[in-house]
Amino acid sequence: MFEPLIHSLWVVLQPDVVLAMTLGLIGGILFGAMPGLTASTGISLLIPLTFGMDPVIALAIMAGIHNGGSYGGSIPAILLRIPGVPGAIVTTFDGYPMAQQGFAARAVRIAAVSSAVGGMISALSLMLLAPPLVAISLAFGPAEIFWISVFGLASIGVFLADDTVKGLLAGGFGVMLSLVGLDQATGFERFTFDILELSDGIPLLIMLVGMYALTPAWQMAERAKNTSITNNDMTFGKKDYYRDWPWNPIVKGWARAIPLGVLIGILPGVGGIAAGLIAYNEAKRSADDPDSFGKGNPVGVAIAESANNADNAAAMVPALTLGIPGSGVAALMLGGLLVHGLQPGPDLFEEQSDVVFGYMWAMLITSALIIPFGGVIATKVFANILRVPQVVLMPLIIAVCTVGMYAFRNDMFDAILMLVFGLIGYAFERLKFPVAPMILGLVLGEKAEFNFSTALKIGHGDWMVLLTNPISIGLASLTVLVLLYPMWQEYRRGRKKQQRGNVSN
Amino acid sequence: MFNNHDRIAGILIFAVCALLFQHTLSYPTESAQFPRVILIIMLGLSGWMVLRSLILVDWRSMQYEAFFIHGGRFALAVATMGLYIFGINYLGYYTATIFYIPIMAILLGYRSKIVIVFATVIYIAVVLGIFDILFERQLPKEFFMH
Repeated sequence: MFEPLIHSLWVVLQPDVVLAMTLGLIGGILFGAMPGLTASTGISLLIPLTFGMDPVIALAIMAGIHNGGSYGGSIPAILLRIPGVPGAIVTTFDGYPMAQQGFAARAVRIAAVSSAVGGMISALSLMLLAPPLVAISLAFGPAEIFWISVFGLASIGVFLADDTVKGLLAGGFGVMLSLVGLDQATGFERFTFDILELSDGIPLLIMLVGMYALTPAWQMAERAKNTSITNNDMTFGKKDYYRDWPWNPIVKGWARAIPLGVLIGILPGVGGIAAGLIAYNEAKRSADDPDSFGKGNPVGVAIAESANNADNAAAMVPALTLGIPGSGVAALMLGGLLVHGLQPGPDLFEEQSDVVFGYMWAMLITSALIIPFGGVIATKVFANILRVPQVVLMPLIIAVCTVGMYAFRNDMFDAILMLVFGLIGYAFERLKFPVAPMILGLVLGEKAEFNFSTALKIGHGDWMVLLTNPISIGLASLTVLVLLYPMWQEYRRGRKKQQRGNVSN
Repeated sequence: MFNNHDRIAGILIFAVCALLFQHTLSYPTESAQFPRVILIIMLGLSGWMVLRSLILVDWRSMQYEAFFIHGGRFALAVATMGLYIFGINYLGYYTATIFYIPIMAILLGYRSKIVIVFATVIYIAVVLGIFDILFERQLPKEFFMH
């Protein structure tokens, strides 16, 4: 394990990869800082541009965007009380009050250092946990792989959606889209409706760009904000020195928040907002001065940002080993890997060790780079992105998406298909259907069908073959538990309500 | 949790799934097996979505939400994007983009000519640098180069 790890470090430290990581990080911070755009938008816009690039460089840029985007969201959260990315909502609780009290510079720097520490520990956990987990996956046959795909879809569908039915339906849509085109087993064309271009199936990339990048662009057009933020809106306040920080409670906050962020990151579908919120509530509950939280306590910012970034690399543990991402951005990163021809699982670690371990190093190094790029001077520069009027940004995003789609296969049909997926993505957003399960459905659908059919062939058509060994039974039971979780939650909520009703009577 | 559009969305999804299921009836068994399993699950879920909108929702307390943030501007954004894609085929990528970015910004009410020109020029230079010079990718040819 250590030899490829050390060799890949050498690969990642090459000047072109360092440049790629730095540019990715800067891009990610800019995307994260702009409300309405996220790391997901940045990665989806970038994937088409990375064709022809060395996969290490492409993944280094994506790692930079992933980490940079998570941190960048804290800039408007602190300065304007607008979370740049959903995970930064917890940062607004104390970051904005700090800014109001003249400590914006300190809040921004605490956010940067906490993001870096959380991200680095998360990357280390990825390095330590992924290789043993991938060894376990070697014991998986067709039935187990089928169940792990179903479990991944069920958990992403249940945990990433406010409404389980919509989450599962979104996953179903994705699976159905993965079945469009020639059936590999029989050569029969399915769901193409005589459209020749669909014979090869729907490329993941087109769906990613259409659903992640077009919706925010169209919403910018709908809101049509012509004005931009002025200097008066963003003040950094007093000068800040590391020696003045309340280090003791901040480090204690990290120690509490980061393991929680890593754990939540590994669990499929739970994601960064949950990590930040749980860690914040836990810290507030056990603090000596709980009332100071929400009123500008620097520990609140440290907890929010460290938990938020601790989720990043950890969410890639199940993605790289089992093909099940731990978060929405990880689903997109998984898509990025697939677009570059990299299949998650044991072969990836054997045959592409430089790429996979290089990616892990890139996650660690880009996290560390947040400290110099998250300083007050750098943040002042990044905050300028908030000045770009959204009505100008909107056509630029559309133009980037279109050129990326054309460059993909030199076919304008892909741009039209992207437009169609953009409309579906918009409808999903407005109807509150989560997009990540659909992406995962497209990623896992073909694999699930192949292993489902293979298992049935092995069992001579007997469906019970799917439930004959302990791993399959375990995974099927976990899937059932995940599907029952919302009902249990509803039952608990109902009981609490009833108890409260009894007390008030 | 419940959205005022859920019932319509549920009916639409149910109808699409039913049509697709009917479509799979013409497939060979091996090709139809897996899609049918998925479609049956989706039919069940969308059916429940419709059913719960009829029996579980207290309509008096439900907040109504418009589907579009601004329908007119949404239609404008989608239509201009369609025209842009169509225009690329005939005018070439750069020419179509030189028209698209300023027109879109102006249609959305932006009036600062300097910012619009600056943004367009920078964007064209970046695309030219990345696609034409760095990766040597051929973008749709300009109309005057045919």
